[in-house]
Amino acid sequence: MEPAQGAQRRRRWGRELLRTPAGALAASLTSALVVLAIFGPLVWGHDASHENFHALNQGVSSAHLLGTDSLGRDIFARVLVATRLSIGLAAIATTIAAVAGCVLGGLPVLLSRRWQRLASSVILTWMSFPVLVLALFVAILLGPGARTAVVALALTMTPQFARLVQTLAAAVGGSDYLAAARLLGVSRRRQLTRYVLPNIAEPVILNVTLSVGGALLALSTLSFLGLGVQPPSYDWGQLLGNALSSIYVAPAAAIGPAVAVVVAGLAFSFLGEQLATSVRERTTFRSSHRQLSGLPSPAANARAGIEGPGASKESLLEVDGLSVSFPMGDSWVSPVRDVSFSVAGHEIVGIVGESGSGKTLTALALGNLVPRPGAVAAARLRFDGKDLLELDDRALREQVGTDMAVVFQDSASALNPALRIGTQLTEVVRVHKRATRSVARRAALEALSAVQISWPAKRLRQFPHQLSGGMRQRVAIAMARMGEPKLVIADEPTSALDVLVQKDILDVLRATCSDTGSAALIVTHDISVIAPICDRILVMYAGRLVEDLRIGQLARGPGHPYTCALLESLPDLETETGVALATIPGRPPAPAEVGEGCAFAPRCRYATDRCYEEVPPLVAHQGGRLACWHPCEPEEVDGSLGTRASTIPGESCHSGTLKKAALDGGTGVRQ
Amino acid sequence: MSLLEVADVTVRFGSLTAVDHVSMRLERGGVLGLVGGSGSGKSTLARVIVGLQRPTAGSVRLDASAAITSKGDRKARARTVQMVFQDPYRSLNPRMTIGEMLEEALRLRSGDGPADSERDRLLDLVHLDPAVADSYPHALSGGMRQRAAIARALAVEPRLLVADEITASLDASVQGAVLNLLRELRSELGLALLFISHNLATVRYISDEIAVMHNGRIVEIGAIDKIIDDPQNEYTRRLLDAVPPPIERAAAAIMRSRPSARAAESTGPAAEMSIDAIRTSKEAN
Repeated sequence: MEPAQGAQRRRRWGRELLRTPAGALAASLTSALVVLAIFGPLVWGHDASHENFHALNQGVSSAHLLGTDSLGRDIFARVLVATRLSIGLAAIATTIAAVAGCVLGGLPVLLSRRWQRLASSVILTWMSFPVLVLALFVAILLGPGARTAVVALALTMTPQFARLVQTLAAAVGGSDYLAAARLLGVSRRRQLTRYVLPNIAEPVILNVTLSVGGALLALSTLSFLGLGVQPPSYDWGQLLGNALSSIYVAPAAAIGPAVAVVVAGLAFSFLGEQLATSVRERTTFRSSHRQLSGLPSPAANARAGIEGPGASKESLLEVDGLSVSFPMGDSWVSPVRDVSFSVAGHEIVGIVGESGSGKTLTALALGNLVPRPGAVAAARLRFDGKDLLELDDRALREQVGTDMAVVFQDSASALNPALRIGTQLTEVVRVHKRATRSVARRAALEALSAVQISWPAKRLRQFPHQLSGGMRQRVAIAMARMGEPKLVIADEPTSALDVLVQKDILDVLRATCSDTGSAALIVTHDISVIAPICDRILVMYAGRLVEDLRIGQLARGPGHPYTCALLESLPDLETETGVALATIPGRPPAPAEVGEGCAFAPRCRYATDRCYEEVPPLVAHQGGRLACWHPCEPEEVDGSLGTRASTIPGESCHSGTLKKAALDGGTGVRQ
Repeated sequence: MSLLEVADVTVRFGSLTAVDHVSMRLERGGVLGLVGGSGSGKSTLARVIVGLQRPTAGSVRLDASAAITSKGDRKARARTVQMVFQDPYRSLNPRMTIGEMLEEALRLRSGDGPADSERDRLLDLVHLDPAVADSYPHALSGGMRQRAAIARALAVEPRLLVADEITASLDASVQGAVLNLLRELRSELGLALLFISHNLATVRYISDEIAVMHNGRIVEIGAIDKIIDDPQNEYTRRLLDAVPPPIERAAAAIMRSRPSARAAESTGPAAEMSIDAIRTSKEAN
């Protein structure tokens, strides 16, 4: 997924918030409080300050909803009028604390490491002072009053904001974009205002909103204790304090301000929570359980059978018309559409494609690992003679756990960091094969030796973090091996590894397959890395399978212009250095942008009108399968160079014509 | 006179020596490739050269002026050397449009507000459409972002560009375009390059000279052809072996070494089909 898609979605904050009942309630409560704070003193100001000596200390009546105080003033009106001072002071204290916290927490990122350490220890020490102690201290210095309360509160809140900002800013501080700005000589002030603050604003604003409620409560406490607002001014805390002496005679006088404090405090906390929730939800998919129309049905994609190589009775895996769709807005987008292929037992097949081609989702769909709320549909999905679409969850888990093994790109997150290697390895056989401890241990040692790990007995006692990336990937392969799977699915197994280790890992993977007789499906973006170990390569583009070719065919030259261009575009040790590299202009379409016709057509130099109008079907071609109206033709087919069957005679994908293709690539803007 | 002179630079992080007594020089307009596996210290060395990391010992001399070490004049350094980072998803500020980013960089060079034409010229230089100026980074593909990052670095007209694995996180089909762009910029602007990569084939394509780094040390340095044809160091040899062979040759080798693959090939269901037959079957579809 694309990181940082926040910019345009941030504007929808408000709308997102109002969409849920809880969010709407929080928003309306807070707005009501703000309106009351602004207009309350204008409407009820007279009643609140009007001293009526005929109605002293009255109880609840229709004229005085909460009764009157010792000077005959209406308590209900006073509670309403006090909204302004109570919320106002809380807001001021929070604002001061937030600004001070941003400076204290955010600025050191731009300074030297020594300053960062100093700021960090200041913040930590500061945090350890409790509110009341600090308030008493400030009251002694400044004397009790509203100002004292605000200062004391700001002082206690500042380090909390500073800590938050410091943590968030540290992430920005270590970013490459801030490093780039430093290299350019961008001023420190601008680094703070344009780079650090905008990138941490979201969580800080949420936290500030949440804190207003807490500040309100703390200020009321201080006033209640007599350290805060002093007469003749009054806030809720002070009203509560005054009413306390007669709480048994006139409880309503105390209940009024108490309810106000609780309601206002909850309203702000609630708003903060709801904002946070709506932000969280934006980063995941919404409407996962909403029924959407137009989900591509597998029946529409179904074809009579699977053509091409490997499609025989002994196929281990048969995939027909596989689509993976995700809800987007009110419709579905399908990053994988109508993919059909089969894998024979013992066969090693590579799936190659660029980012967004759907290669990983295709592999995940086979292991029932497509993340929610993705929907997998297929006309047929058979593995080892069983229909995966018909199995229930439990049977599917059983199947995936034993007969299918998955090796992920990031071995660090695929292994449990809290468990020893030995525990994780033996778990497979202990759970699925119900083996005893000693049998499992022996099997684990064997598996580790088979993947060429040094000191296997010692490794069993180690934790994942004690191993290098290459070692961990070996362990992951050993783990796959322990289950004696019929199919190993490997998703970019070498992409995260050092260049010298990549080849070894692939060799180990290949050896594992030939030892255990399992088939493998290896997903990768780099065709040149996996070509040496594969029997067959599937090329995906924009969610579709565009070519399915045996490795021998790859040697003679593939048929799809995209595959040809991919092979031409990377330099090897024999590439002529004086000539510009072949490139493919433009960029692959996003799943939602795929329209009619061949998705590669806009980037293809052989495209004709037909390519834009009709999707080329995947049909038998040169011993494999191909989806192209104008295939490249391999040189050796009839001995003569470049006999293209297409409209451009005399050109083949190996004659170097692609090298002269546009120098550019990717200048279109995604709108 | 050398543009870049790295003299006996050492960087230690606690007990770990990331860069170990490294010396190298780069002439104006030259391209030096720096190759090594992960953890070889090549990125740390790059950060020392551009001034993001202070060396524990040794010095970096840029443009033969007085040694600009960590405390030197930032502005002078900025105009001499710029860096492009590996991951274009992390090297652009997500809260700034491409245009704002370039204008900021241009302003640092000329002082006052830059003309739109300057900005468009930069975009044109890296083959980006002027309309891109209004986009935020998240709206661009990886290749486009990397071009934008290169444009930002070029805005201050540096004489040396440090490119740290700039194609590693790009899709195969755009890597070539970015490499082509660097070559063009070199010939058009006379830009010197320090090109860092783990892939010897890529480095060979773009560099004149090559330095091989292993465990923080430079184990071999010299003219590119000499090192590729006749590597002296064991580690260099291993790196060369790790480069995947040209794909057709690799495929042919598999066919030779694996009889099973050959057998499957010849008995494939469509292997005997003539081209005409394939066309017919296509039309039938």
